[in-house]
Amino acid sequence: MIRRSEYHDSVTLMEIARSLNALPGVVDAAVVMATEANRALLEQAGLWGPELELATANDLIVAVHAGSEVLAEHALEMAGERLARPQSGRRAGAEQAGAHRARTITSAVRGHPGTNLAVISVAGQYAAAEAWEALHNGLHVLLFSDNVSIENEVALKQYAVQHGLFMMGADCGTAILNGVALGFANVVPRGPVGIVAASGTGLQETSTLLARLGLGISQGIGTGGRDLKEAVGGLTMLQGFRALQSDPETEVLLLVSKPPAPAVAERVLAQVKESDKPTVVCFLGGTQEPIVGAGAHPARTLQEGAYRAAALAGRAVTEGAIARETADLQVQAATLRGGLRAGQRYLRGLYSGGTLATEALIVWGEMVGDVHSNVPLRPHLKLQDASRSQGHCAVDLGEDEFTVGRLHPMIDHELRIRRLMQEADDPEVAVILLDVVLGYGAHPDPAGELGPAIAGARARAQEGGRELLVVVSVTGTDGDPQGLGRQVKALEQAGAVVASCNAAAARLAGYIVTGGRAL
Amino acid sequence: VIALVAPEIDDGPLNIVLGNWPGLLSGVQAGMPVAYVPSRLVLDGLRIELEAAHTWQPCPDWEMLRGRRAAIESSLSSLESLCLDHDPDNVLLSLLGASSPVRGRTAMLAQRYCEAAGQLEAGWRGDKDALIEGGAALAGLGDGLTPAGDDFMVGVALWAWLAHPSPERFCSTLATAAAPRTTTLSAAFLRAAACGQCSAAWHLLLAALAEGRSAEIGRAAREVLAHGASSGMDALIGFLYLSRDKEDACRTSI
Repeated sequence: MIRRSEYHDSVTLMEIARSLNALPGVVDAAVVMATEANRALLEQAGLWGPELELATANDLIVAVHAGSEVLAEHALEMAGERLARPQSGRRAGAEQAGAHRARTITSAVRGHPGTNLAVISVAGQYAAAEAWEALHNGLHVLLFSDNVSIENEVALKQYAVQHGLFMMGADCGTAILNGVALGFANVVPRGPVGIVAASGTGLQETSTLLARLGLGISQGIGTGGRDLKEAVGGLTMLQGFRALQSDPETEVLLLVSKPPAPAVAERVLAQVKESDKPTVVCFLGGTQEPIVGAGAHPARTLQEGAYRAAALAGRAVTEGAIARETADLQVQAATLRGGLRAGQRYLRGLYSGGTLATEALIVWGEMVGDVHSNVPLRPHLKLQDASRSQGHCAVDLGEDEFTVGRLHPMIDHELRIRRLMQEADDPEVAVILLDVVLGYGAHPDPAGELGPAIAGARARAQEGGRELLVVVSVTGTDGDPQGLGRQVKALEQAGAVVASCNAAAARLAGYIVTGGRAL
Repeated sequence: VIALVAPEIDDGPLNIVLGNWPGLLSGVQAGMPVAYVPSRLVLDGLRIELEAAHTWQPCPDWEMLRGRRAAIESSLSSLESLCLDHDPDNVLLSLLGASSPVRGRTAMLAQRYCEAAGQLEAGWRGDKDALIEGGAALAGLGDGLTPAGDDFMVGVALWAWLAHPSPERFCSTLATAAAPRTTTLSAAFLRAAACGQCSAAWHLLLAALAEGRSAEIGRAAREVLAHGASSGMDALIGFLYLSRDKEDACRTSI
């Protein structure tokens, strides 16, 4: 087939050639310009016919070698149809909608001059280069990718700070900027609390708890997990803190992180001390005194962090709220432990969110003593083999050792379900604690997969003559695509006990095995 | 040939870069009459006033770049890796030592590229006939609106401007042999490259190579690679192909 003086861009020609070659019965097909060289090549390949003799270099030719004339005709017809369309496939849709498909950050910015932020999620080896390109184009960056060297992270952040840009990450999973959720984030209202977090799930847990207390956030700035390490120096947390201090919509600040390097903690707290806005600091597992010394409000858990921020923002939430809840949990625990047999004594936490696992380790550490983990609070409590639990144990299944070559457990529950069954077979296990994280990016229906697995695990234990308790926390809101209410209901129907948040779930589980007493 | 392009395509030897107005070119149809009057291009209802347009120099500072040739050569291995990562199936990669396809039309194509590229290499060393034969054989050869053989020669021409003792003569011979044998658009790109002209993305890449800044080399190379389906990569392979010949001192000039 000759199409006279017909020009299509190379992408279109190659897409059509590929689809013709994929048709059943087609031996070979070419969609090329009828140049001398291509003619010679097609002759050699047996794709040239006398009907193409009149084609010139500026003509497009479609040549098909197929098992039968009918099949060849069909392929030519299909090519004709595709070539007659104004544009091909996805590009047509995008271009007709006034958008363009940029293939580099620079061209995306040229096509959309108002762009001010890039979300980058590419393989680690390419991530720094893409982040540099975004920063050089004057964009703020949320760098979702991990496996970026610390040297690159420092250089990127230094450049960003010098140029008044935010460099969130590497390994930054969550941010909510001007009400727009980025990465794994939840649907929460706008409001007076500004959060800067070195932990994605920490930001999710605190922002959703605030939402449930009827309070919104002004901004949720993620820093990436390494920001408060000595080498990085808390560059993004300090920058975020400064930005929120001068943000008129932010009345209360909440900082969330694992304990920073001592020098970085000093730097952050020095800035907190100068702040004229009330600030809650949750350095999970860190000491409280320096925070108090800086005139800030310390929080031991994410729940405390959210509640204290809410109280400071004028919501009727006080210390008493958690104490009252704790009293209720003790009563609930006493009821639940009645079904356990002698010998069922261990807690097992199977986590998808690393910071939520840390929060459970902190709560349990105060209730039951030593808790083993692949992310332990103290080195001697590190699990020898992360695939096998030992004593009281909380495992972060989102760690690299579990996720290499597979999806994160917030998206893919297979690994966690397998581990749930493994724990259910252990006669010494009393309570299994699971976190369920909702929101954008997470599994579309976690309860739909975890619910039957929970019921199955409980049934397995029952076959062994035991009652297995499964306590679940759900991080999310009713505005999330999965719907908090729907998820809670489905999990409860599967036999899970659903707590109000992760810290409450950990306390409930702890009280079940300790009989209502803490250490 | 004049190319009316959207801002994301950026400056290029043939380009008039239009403002970012959605739907600006939606009324442009193939075969539509075009008129050029001084400082104005008219396509049916669309009038493009050129008087106020910024002009752009399509030739990089070749003299400066030739002075930095050693620095540029030392950064070429990273370009090669980028090409391999970008599309390991590109047939032209066999010219850089990647394994050749073994069957069918693709194998035939690879064989032709290999023979013709070898002739360009001989042409680089002073064999004018081989250069003409190689240019003619590569012209219009391969897939795409600008067939891959032409894009490859664009890259060869740019390398010649950087490294050949007589780039004008080498490139002019190549373009004269190739241009009449390919599509009008491809010939226009080839002629521009033969005059040392290249796109803004190539300008950035050459500058980054000269400075040896690896992050910027990667970024600029990705801009070049983003051109067309495979055109950017085919041109980069052409640029790299003759640079690999470390005995490239021309024994006789053309």
